[in-house]
Amino acid sequence: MRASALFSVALLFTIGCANPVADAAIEALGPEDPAVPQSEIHRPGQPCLMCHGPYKGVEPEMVVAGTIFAYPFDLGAEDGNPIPVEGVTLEISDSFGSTPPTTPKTNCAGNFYITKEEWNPAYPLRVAMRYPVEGDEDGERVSMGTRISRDGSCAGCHEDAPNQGSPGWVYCTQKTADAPVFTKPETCTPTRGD
Amino acid sequence: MRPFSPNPKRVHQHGVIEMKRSIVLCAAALFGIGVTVVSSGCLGENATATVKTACVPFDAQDDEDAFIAVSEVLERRCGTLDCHGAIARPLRLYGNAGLRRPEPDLGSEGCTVNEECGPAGSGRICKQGLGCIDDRITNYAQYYPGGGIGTTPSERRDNWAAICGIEPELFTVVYCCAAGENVCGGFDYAANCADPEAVDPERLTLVRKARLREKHKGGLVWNEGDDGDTCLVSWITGAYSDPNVNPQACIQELQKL
Repeated sequence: MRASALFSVALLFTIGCANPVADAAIEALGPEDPAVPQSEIHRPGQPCLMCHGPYKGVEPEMVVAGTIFAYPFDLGAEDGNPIPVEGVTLEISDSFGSTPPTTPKTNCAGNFYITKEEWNPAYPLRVAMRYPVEGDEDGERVSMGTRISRDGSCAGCHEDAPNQGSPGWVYCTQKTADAPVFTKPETCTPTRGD
Repeated sequence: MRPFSPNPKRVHQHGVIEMKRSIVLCAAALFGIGVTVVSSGCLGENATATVKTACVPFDAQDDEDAFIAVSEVLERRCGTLDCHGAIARPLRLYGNAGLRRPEPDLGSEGCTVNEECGPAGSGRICKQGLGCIDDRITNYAQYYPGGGIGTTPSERRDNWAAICGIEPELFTVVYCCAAGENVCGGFDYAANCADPEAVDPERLTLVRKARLREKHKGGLVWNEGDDGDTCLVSWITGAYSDPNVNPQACIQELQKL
Protein backbone atom coordinates (compact mmCIF):
# COMPACT_ATOMS: atom_id res chain seq x y z
CA MET A 1 0.00 0.00 0.00
CA ARG A 2 2.75 2.40 1.02
CA ALA A 3 4.78 1.41 -2.03
CA SER A 4 1.91 2.14 -4.38
CA ALA A 5 1.33 5.52 -2.70
CA LEU A 6 5.00 6.40 -3.11
CA PHE A 7 4.85 5.26 -6.73
CA SER A 8 1.80 7.47 -7.34
CA VAL A 9 3.54 10.51 -5.84
CA ALA A 10 6.66 9.82 -7.91
CA LEU A 11 4.50 9.45 -11.02
CA LEU A 12 2.73 12.73 -10.32
CA PHE A 13 6.06 14.52 -10.01
CA THR A 14 7.28 12.95 -13.25
CA ILE A 15 4.15 13.95 -15.13
CA GLY A 16 4.29 17.43 -13.60
CA CYS A 17 7.75 18.04 -15.02
CA ALA A 18 6.80 17.36 -18.63
CA ASN A 19 5.78 20.16 -20.96
CA PRO A 20 3.70 18.68 -23.78
CA VAL A 21 3.78 21.91 -25.82
CA ALA A 22 7.58 22.08 -25.74
CA ASP A 23 7.82 18.34 -26.38
CA ALA A 24 5.59 18.64 -29.45
CA ALA A 25 7.62 21.61 -30.72
CA ILE A 26 10.86 19.64 -30.33
CA GLU A 27 9.32 16.64 -32.05
CA ALA A 28 8.24 18.87 -34.94
CA LEU A 29 11.86 19.88 -35.56
CA GLY A 30 12.42 16.42 -37.01
CA PRO A 31 15.44 14.13 -36.91
CA GLU A 32 19.07 15.08 -37.31
CA ASP A 33 20.47 15.47 -40.85
CA PRO A 34 22.57 12.31 -41.24
CA ALA A 35 25.09 14.26 -43.34
CA VAL A 36 25.79 16.70 -40.51
CA PRO A 37 27.50 15.68 -37.28
CA GLN A 38 25.72 16.56 -34.06
CA SER A 39 27.96 19.51 -33.31
CA GLU A 40 28.21 23.31 -33.53
CA ILE A 41 27.03 23.18 -37.14
CA HIS A 42 23.93 21.04 -36.73
CA ARG A 43 20.32 22.15 -37.19
CA PRO A 44 20.95 25.64 -38.63
CA GLY A 45 17.89 27.87 -38.55
CA GLN A 46 16.22 25.94 -35.75
CA PRO A 47 15.43 27.28 -32.25
CA CYS A 48 18.57 26.13 -30.40
CA LEU A 49 17.27 26.73 -26.88
CA MET A 50 14.43 24.26 -27.34
CA CYS A 51 16.99 21.62 -26.40
CA HIS A 52 19.98 23.68 -25.25
CA GLY A 53 17.81 25.68 -22.84
CA PRO A 54 16.48 25.37 -19.32
CA TYR A 55 13.74 22.88 -20.25
CA LYS A 56 15.83 20.12 -21.81
CA GLY A 57 19.16 21.30 -20.46
CA VAL A 58 21.17 19.64 -23.24
CA GLU A 59 24.85 20.57 -22.88
CA PRO A 60 26.05 23.14 -23.57
CA GLU A 61 23.17 25.10 -22.08
CA MET A 62 22.81 28.31 -24.09
CA VAL A 63 21.34 31.74 -23.36
CA VAL A 64 21.41 33.22 -26.86
CA ALA A 65 21.91 31.24 -30.06
CA GLY A 66 20.92 31.29 -33.68
CA THR A 67 21.81 31.25 -37.34
CA ILE A 68 22.56 34.15 -39.68
CA PHE A 69 21.73 33.80 -43.35
CA ALA A 70 22.84 36.01 -46.23
CA TYR A 71 19.52 37.01 -47.77
CA PRO A 72 15.83 36.91 -46.83
CA PHE A 73 13.85 33.72 -47.33
CA ASP A 74 13.38 33.31 -51.09
CA LEU A 75 9.69 32.60 -51.57
CA GLY A 76 10.45 31.26 -55.05
CA ALA A 77 12.65 28.46 -53.70
CA GLU A 78 11.14 25.54 -51.81
CA ASP A 79 13.68 25.70 -48.98
CA GLY A 80 14.05 29.47 -49.16
CA ASN A 81 17.64 29.09 -50.45
CA PRO A 82 19.49 29.39 -47.14
CA ILE A 83 23.04 30.70 -47.52
CA PRO A 84 24.79 30.78 -44.15
CA VAL A 85 27.27 33.56 -43.47
CA GLU A 86 30.47 32.85 -41.59
CA GLY A 87 32.25 35.52 -39.58
CA VAL A 88 29.25 37.61 -38.56
CA THR A 89 29.90 39.19 -35.15
CA LEU A 90 27.10 39.78 -32.68
CA GLU A 91 26.90 42.83 -30.43
CA ILE A 92 24.59 42.00 -27.55
CA SER A 93 23.94 43.81 -24.29
CA ASP A 94 21.43 43.21 -21.53
CA SER A 95 19.17 45.62 -19.66
CA PHE A 96 21.98 46.55 -17.24
CA GLY A 97 24.53 47.12 -20.01
CA SER A 98 26.36 43.84 -19.45
CA THR A 99 27.90 42.17 -22.51
CA PRO A 100 29.25 38.66 -23.18
CA PRO A 101 32.91 38.18 -22.20
CA THR A 102 33.84 37.41 -25.81
CA THR A 103 32.16 38.59 -28.99
CA PRO A 104 30.12 35.75 -30.50
CA LYS A 105 30.89 34.96 -34.14
CA THR A 106 29.13 32.71 -36.63
CA ASN A 107 30.69 29.53 -38.00
CA CYS A 108 30.45 28.07 -41.51
CA ALA A 109 26.87 26.94 -40.85
CA GLY A 110 25.96 30.50 -39.85
CA ASN A 111 25.47 29.28 -36.26
CA PHE A 112 26.59 31.12 -33.13
CA TYR A 113 25.88 30.64 -29.45
CA ILE A 114 26.62 31.97 -25.98
CA THR A 115 26.51 29.52 -23.10
CA LYS A 116 24.89 30.19 -19.75
CA GLU A 117 28.25 29.52 -18.13
CA GLU A 118 29.80 32.38 -20.11
CA TRP A 119 27.07 34.96 -19.64
CA ASN A 120 23.75 35.07 -17.82
CA PRO A 121 22.00 38.20 -19.09
CA ALA A 122 19.02 40.08 -17.67
CA TYR A 123 16.33 40.55 -20.30
CA PRO A 124 15.56 42.50 -22.44
CA LEU A 125 18.59 42.35 -24.73
CA ARG A 126 19.73 44.75 -27.42
CA VAL A 127 21.20 43.10 -30.50
CA ALA A 128 23.16 44.25 -33.51
CA MET A 129 25.35 42.31 -35.91
CA ARG A 130 28.21 43.12 -38.22
CA TYR A 131 28.53 41.04 -41.37
CA PRO A 132 31.70 40.79 -43.45
CA VAL A 133 32.00 42.87 -46.60
CA GLU A 134 34.90 42.42 -48.98
CA GLY A 135 37.25 45.41 -48.92
CA ASP A 136 35.75 46.81 -45.71
CA GLU A 137 37.39 45.48 -42.57
CA ASP A 138 34.66 46.90 -40.32
CA GLY A 139 31.93 45.16 -42.28
CA GLU A 140 28.33 46.34 -42.28
CA ARG A 141 26.42 46.87 -39.06
CA VAL A 142 22.74 46.02 -38.82
CA SER A 143 20.77 46.45 -35.61
CA MET A 144 17.56 44.80 -34.57
CA GLY A 145 14.65 47.23 -34.36
CA THR A 146 13.21 45.61 -31.24
CA ARG A 147 14.64 43.93 -28.15
CA ILE A 148 14.84 40.25 -27.33
CA SER A 149 12.40 40.03 -24.45
CA ARG A 150 12.68 36.46 -23.23
CA ASP A 151 13.52 33.91 -25.94
CA GLY A 152 17.24 33.48 -26.57
CA SER A 153 16.64 31.42 -29.72
CA CYS A 154 16.72 33.64 -32.81
CA ALA A 155 14.50 31.10 -34.57
CA GLY A 156 11.97 31.29 -31.76
CA CYS A 157 10.64 34.36 -33.60
CA HIS A 158 12.64 34.39 -36.87
CA GLU A 159 11.19 31.26 -38.32
CA ASP A 160 11.82 30.40 -42.00
CA ALA A 161 9.44 32.24 -44.36
CA PRO A 162 7.85 35.51 -43.26
CA ASN A 163 4.24 35.28 -42.16
CA GLN A 164 1.90 37.17 -39.82
CA GLY A 165 3.74 35.70 -36.84
CA SER A 166 7.34 35.71 -38.09
CA PRO A 167 9.59 38.23 -39.86
CA GLY A 168 11.40 35.31 -41.51
CA TRP A 169 14.88 34.08 -40.74
CA VAL A 170 17.69 36.46 -39.73
CA TYR A 171 19.52 37.78 -42.77
CA CYS A 172 22.32 40.21 -43.50
CA THR A 173 21.03 42.17 -46.47
CA GLN A 174 18.35 42.33 -49.12
CA LYS A 175 19.42 40.64 -52.35
CA THR A 176 19.85 43.80 -54.40
CA ALA A 177 22.17 44.36 -57.37
CA ASP A 178 24.80 46.09 -55.22
CA ALA A 179 24.53 43.72 -52.23
CA PRO A 180 27.59 41.67 -51.23
CA VAL A 181 27.68 38.25 -52.88
CA PHE A 182 27.52 35.31 -50.47
CA THR A 183 27.72 31.68 -51.55
CA LYS A 184 27.13 28.40 -49.76
CA PRO A 185 30.39 26.91 -48.43
CA GLU A 186 31.44 23.67 -50.15
CA THR A 187 32.55 22.11 -46.88
CA CYS A 188 31.86 22.95 -43.30
CA THR A 189 33.98 21.73 -40.42
CA PRO A 190 32.48 21.85 -36.95
CA THR A 191 33.96 24.80 -35.06
CA ARG A 192 32.38 27.32 -32.78
CA GLY A 193 33.31 30.23 -35.01
CA ASP A 194 34.67 32.66 -32.45
CA MET B 1 -11.76 -4.70 1.20
CA ARG B 2 -14.96 -6.10 -0.28
CA PRO B 3 -15.36 -9.89 0.07
CA PHE B 4 -14.81 -11.68 -3.17
CA SER B 5 -17.88 -13.51 -4.40
CA PRO B 6 -17.67 -16.15 -7.11
CA ASN B 7 -21.47 -16.09 -7.54
CA PRO B 8 -22.16 -14.20 -10.80
CA LYS B 9 -25.74 -13.51 -9.73
CA ARG B 10 -24.58 -11.79 -6.56
CA VAL B 11 -21.98 -9.85 -8.49
CA HIS B 12 -24.70 -8.73 -10.89
CA GLN B 13 -26.99 -7.71 -8.05
CA HIS B 14 -24.17 -5.90 -6.34
CA GLY B 15 -23.42 -4.08 -9.60
CA VAL B 16 -27.04 -2.93 -9.87
CA ILE B 17 -26.98 -1.64 -6.29
CA GLU B 18 -23.71 0.20 -7.02
CA MET B 19 -25.22 1.69 -10.14
CA LYS B 20 -28.33 2.87 -8.26
CA ARG B 21 -26.12 4.44 -5.65
CA SER B 22 -24.15 6.23 -8.34
CA ILE B 23 -27.32 7.58 -9.93
CA VAL B 24 -28.53 8.88 -6.57
CA LEU B 25 -25.16 10.51 -5.86
CA CYS B 26 -25.04 11.99 -9.33
CA ALA B 27 -28.56 13.40 -8.99
CA ALA B 28 -27.66 14.88 -5.62
CA ALA B 29 -24.58 16.51 -7.07
CA LEU B 30 -26.55 17.95 -10.00
CA PHE B 31 -29.17 19.25 -7.57
CA GLY B 32 -26.42 20.91 -5.55
CA ILE B 33 -24.93 22.55 -8.65
CA GLY B 34 -28.40 23.71 -9.69
CA VAL B 35 -29.05 25.29 -6.31
CA THR B 36 -25.69 27.07 -6.48
CA VAL B 37 -26.37 28.40 -9.98
CA VAL B 38 -29.86 29.59 -9.04
CA SER B 39 -28.59 31.13 -5.78
CA SER B 40 -25.89 33.04 -7.61
CA GLY B 41 -28.65 34.70 -9.59
CA CYS B 42 -30.11 36.10 -6.36
CA LEU B 43 -27.66 38.95 -6.08
CA GLY B 44 -30.23 41.66 -5.83
CA GLU B 45 -29.20 44.95 -7.38
CA ASN B 46 -25.64 43.71 -7.93
CA ALA B 47 -26.89 41.26 -10.54
CA THR B 48 -27.85 44.04 -12.92
CA ALA B 49 -25.33 46.66 -11.85
CA THR B 50 -23.08 48.03 -14.57
CA VAL B 51 -19.60 49.38 -14.17
CA LYS B 52 -18.72 52.31 -16.39
CA THR B 53 -15.13 52.52 -17.49
CA ALA B 54 -13.26 55.18 -19.39
CA CYS B 55 -9.99 55.41 -21.23
CA VAL B 56 -7.92 58.05 -22.95
CA PRO B 57 -9.83 58.85 -26.16
CA PHE B 58 -8.45 57.38 -29.37
CA ASP B 59 -9.56 57.74 -32.96
CA ALA B 60 -7.97 54.94 -34.99
CA GLN B 61 -8.63 56.75 -38.27
CA ASP B 62 -6.93 59.96 -37.12
CA ASP B 63 -3.31 59.85 -38.27
CA GLU B 64 -2.42 62.61 -35.80
CA ASP B 65 -3.79 60.88 -32.69
CA ALA B 66 -1.42 60.97 -29.70
CA PHE B 67 -1.81 57.23 -29.15
CA ILE B 68 -0.02 56.38 -32.40
CA ALA B 69 3.39 57.23 -30.94
CA VAL B 70 2.56 55.52 -27.64
CA SER B 71 1.44 52.40 -29.47
CA GLU B 72 4.62 52.32 -31.50
CA VAL B 73 6.76 52.51 -28.38
CA LEU B 74 4.81 49.66 -26.79
CA GLU B 75 4.93 47.65 -30.01
CA ARG B 76 8.71 47.86 -30.07
CA ARG B 77 9.46 47.55 -26.39
CA CYS B 78 6.73 45.16 -25.25
CA GLY B 79 5.08 43.64 -28.32
CA THR B 80 7.98 41.54 -29.53
CA LEU B 81 7.11 38.09 -30.82
CA ASP B 82 8.62 36.41 -27.77
CA CYS B 83 6.66 38.54 -25.29
CA HIS B 84 3.39 40.47 -25.64
CA GLY B 85 3.45 39.71 -29.35
CA ALA B 86 3.01 36.03 -28.53
CA ILE B 87 -0.51 34.66 -28.86
CA ALA B 88 -0.37 32.88 -25.52
CA ARG B 89 0.33 36.02 -23.48
CA PRO B 90 -2.09 38.54 -21.98
CA LEU B 91 -1.87 42.20 -23.03
CA ARG B 92 -1.49 41.17 -26.64
CA LEU B 93 0.05 43.86 -28.82
CA TYR B 94 0.05 43.94 -32.61
CA GLY B 95 2.16 45.90 -35.03
CA ASN B 96 4.81 46.02 -37.69
CA ALA B 97 7.53 45.26 -35.12
CA GLY B 98 5.84 42.10 -33.85
CA LEU B 99 2.77 39.99 -34.25
CA ARG B 100 0.38 41.09 -36.98
CA ARG B 101 -3.32 41.24 -36.30
CA PRO B 102 -4.92 38.22 -37.99
CA GLU B 103 -6.17 39.38 -41.37
CA PRO B 104 -8.56 38.83 -43.06
CA ASP B 105 -11.36 38.44 -40.51
CA LEU B 106 -12.19 34.81 -39.93
CA GLY B 107 -15.18 33.67 -41.99
CA SER B 108 -15.24 36.78 -44.17
CA GLU B 109 -13.92 35.09 -47.32
CA GLY B 110 -17.23 35.41 -49.11
CA CYS B 111 -17.66 39.16 -48.64
CA THR B 112 -18.71 41.17 -51.66
CA VAL B 113 -19.13 44.76 -50.43
CA ASN B 114 -17.33 46.91 -47.83
CA GLU B 115 -20.46 47.32 -45.72
CA GLU B 116 -20.22 43.65 -44.80
CA CYS B 117 -16.88 44.38 -43.15
CA GLY B 118 -17.83 47.34 -41.00
CA PRO B 119 -19.55 50.71 -41.06
CA ALA B 120 -18.30 53.41 -43.39
CA GLY B 121 -15.25 55.10 -41.94
CA SER B 122 -14.20 52.04 -39.93
CA GLY B 123 -11.28 51.40 -42.25
CA ARG B 124 -12.38 47.82 -42.90
CA ILE B 125 -12.89 46.89 -46.53
CA CYS B 126 -13.79 43.81 -48.49
CA LYS B 127 -10.94 42.50 -50.58
CA GLN B 128 -12.46 40.18 -53.17
CA GLY B 129 -11.21 36.62 -52.84
CA LEU B 130 -9.50 37.37 -49.53
CA GLY B 131 -12.06 38.75 -47.07
CA CYS B 132 -12.44 41.74 -44.77
CA ILE B 133 -9.13 43.48 -44.14
CA ASP B 134 -7.82 46.85 -43.00
CA ASP B 135 -7.80 49.28 -45.92
CA ARG B 136 -4.15 50.19 -45.22
CA ILE B 137 -3.06 46.69 -46.28
CA THR B 138 -2.39 47.59 -49.86
CA ASN B 139 -0.03 44.67 -50.46
CA TYR B 140 -1.06 41.60 -48.52
CA ALA B 141 2.25 39.82 -49.27
CA GLN B 142 4.02 42.52 -47.25
CA TYR B 143 1.80 42.08 -44.19
CA TYR B 144 4.26 40.40 -41.83
CA PRO B 145 6.51 41.58 -38.96
CA GLY B 146 9.03 44.00 -40.43
CA GLY B 147 7.26 43.92 -43.81
CA GLY B 148 6.28 46.84 -45.99
CA ILE B 149 2.91 47.41 -44.33
CA GLY B 150 3.20 49.61 -41.24
CA THR B 151 1.08 49.16 -38.14
CA THR B 152 -2.54 49.47 -39.26
CA PRO B 153 -5.34 51.44 -37.54
CA SER B 154 -7.04 48.09 -36.78
CA GLU B 155 -3.92 46.94 -34.96
CA ARG B 156 -3.68 50.20 -33.01
CA ARG B 157 -7.34 49.97 -32.06
CA ASP B 158 -6.75 46.47 -30.66
CA ASN B 159 -3.63 47.66 -28.82
CA TRP B 160 -5.61 50.52 -27.30
CA ALA B 161 -8.31 48.09 -26.18
CA ALA B 162 -5.69 45.75 -24.69
CA ILE B 163 -4.04 48.57 -22.72
CA CYS B 164 -7.28 50.12 -21.50
CA GLY B 165 -8.81 46.74 -20.76
CA ILE B 166 -6.14 45.05 -18.70
CA GLU B 167 -7.30 46.78 -15.50
CA PRO B 168 -10.30 48.77 -16.73
CA GLU B 169 -11.66 50.00 -13.39
CA LEU B 170 -8.27 51.07 -12.08
CA PHE B 171 -7.32 52.63 -15.40
CA THR B 172 -10.57 54.60 -15.27
CA VAL B 173 -9.72 56.01 -11.85
CA VAL B 174 -6.12 56.94 -12.76
CA TYR B 175 -7.11 58.48 -16.09
CA CYS B 176 -10.28 60.25 -14.93
CA CYS B 177 -8.69 61.66 -11.77
CA ALA B 178 -5.73 62.96 -13.79
CA ALA B 179 -8.01 64.34 -16.50
CA GLY B 180 -9.90 66.49 -14.04
CA GLU B 181 -13.47 67.00 -12.91
CA ASN B 182 -16.27 66.61 -15.48
CA VAL B 183 -14.08 64.99 -18.14
CA CYS B 184 -15.39 61.45 -17.61
CA GLY B 185 -19.18 61.50 -17.74
CA GLY B 186 -20.81 59.57 -14.91
CA PHE B 187 -17.55 59.26 -13.00
CA ASP B 188 -17.77 60.19 -9.33
CA TYR B 189 -14.73 62.47 -9.20
CA ALA B 190 -15.16 63.58 -5.59
CA ALA B 191 -15.47 60.05 -4.24
CA ASN B 192 -12.66 58.52 -6.30
CA CYS B 193 -10.09 61.27 -6.48
CA ALA B 194 -9.95 62.64 -2.93
CA ASP B 195 -6.83 60.60 -2.24
CA PRO B 196 -3.89 62.26 -4.05
CA GLU B 197 -2.47 58.81 -4.74
CA ALA B 198 -5.50 57.95 -6.86
CA VAL B 199 -3.80 59.51 -9.82
CA ASP B 200 -0.50 57.66 -9.28
CA PRO B 201 0.09 55.75 -12.54
CA GLU B 202 2.19 53.20 -10.69
CA ARG B 203 -1.05 51.74 -9.40
CA LEU B 204 -1.36 50.22 -12.86
CA THR B 205 0.29 46.87 -13.45
CA LEU B 206 1.19 48.05 -16.95
CA VAL B 207 3.37 50.80 -15.50
CA ARG B 208 4.80 48.75 -12.64
CA LYS B 209 5.83 45.79 -14.77
CA ALA B 210 7.76 47.93 -17.26
CA ARG B 211 9.58 49.59 -14.34
CA LEU B 212 10.23 46.16 -12.84
CA ARG B 213 8.57 47.23 -9.60
CA GLU B 214 6.95 43.82 -9.65
CA LYS B 215 7.97 40.50 -11.18
CA HIS B 216 8.16 40.76 -14.94
CA LYS B 217 9.50 37.98 -17.12
CA GLY B 218 10.46 40.54 -19.76
CA GLY B 219 12.66 42.32 -17.21
CA LEU B 220 13.31 46.03 -16.84
CA VAL B 221 11.93 47.80 -19.87
CA TRP B 222 12.61 51.30 -18.56
CA ASN B 223 13.06 53.20 -15.31
CA GLU B 224 10.68 55.81 -13.97
CA GLY B 225 11.23 59.04 -15.88
CA ASP B 226 12.94 57.43 -18.89
CA ASP B 227 11.64 58.41 -22.30
CA GLY B 228 9.53 55.29 -22.77
CA ASP B 229 8.07 55.62 -19.28
CA THR B 230 7.29 59.32 -19.81
CA CYS B 231 5.72 58.50 -23.17
CA LEU B 232 3.33 55.97 -21.63
CA VAL B 233 2.57 57.71 -18.35
CA SER B 234 1.99 61.13 -19.88
CA TRP B 235 -0.53 59.59 -22.27
CA ILE B 236 -2.42 57.95 -19.41
CA THR B 237 -2.41 61.02 -17.21
CA GLY B 238 -3.28 63.45 -19.95
CA ALA B 239 0.03 65.27 -20.31
CA TYR B 240 0.17 64.12 -23.93
CA SER B 241 -1.38 67.42 -24.88
CA ASP B 242 1.86 69.10 -23.81
CA PRO B 243 4.11 68.99 -26.90
CA ASN B 244 7.22 69.09 -24.70
CA VAL B 245 6.27 65.83 -23.09
CA ASN B 246 4.63 63.82 -25.78
CA PRO B 247 5.15 62.76 -28.52
CA GLN B 248 8.71 64.00 -27.96
CA ALA B 249 9.44 61.37 -25.31
CA CYS B 250 8.00 58.64 -27.52
CA ILE B 251 10.09 59.76 -30.48
CA GLN B 252 13.24 59.84 -28.35
CA GLU B 253 12.51 56.33 -27.09
CA LEU B 254 12.03 55.06 -30.63
CA GLN B 255 15.35 56.53 -31.70
CA LYS B 256 17.17 54.19 -29.29
CA LEU B 257 18.03 51.11 -31.28
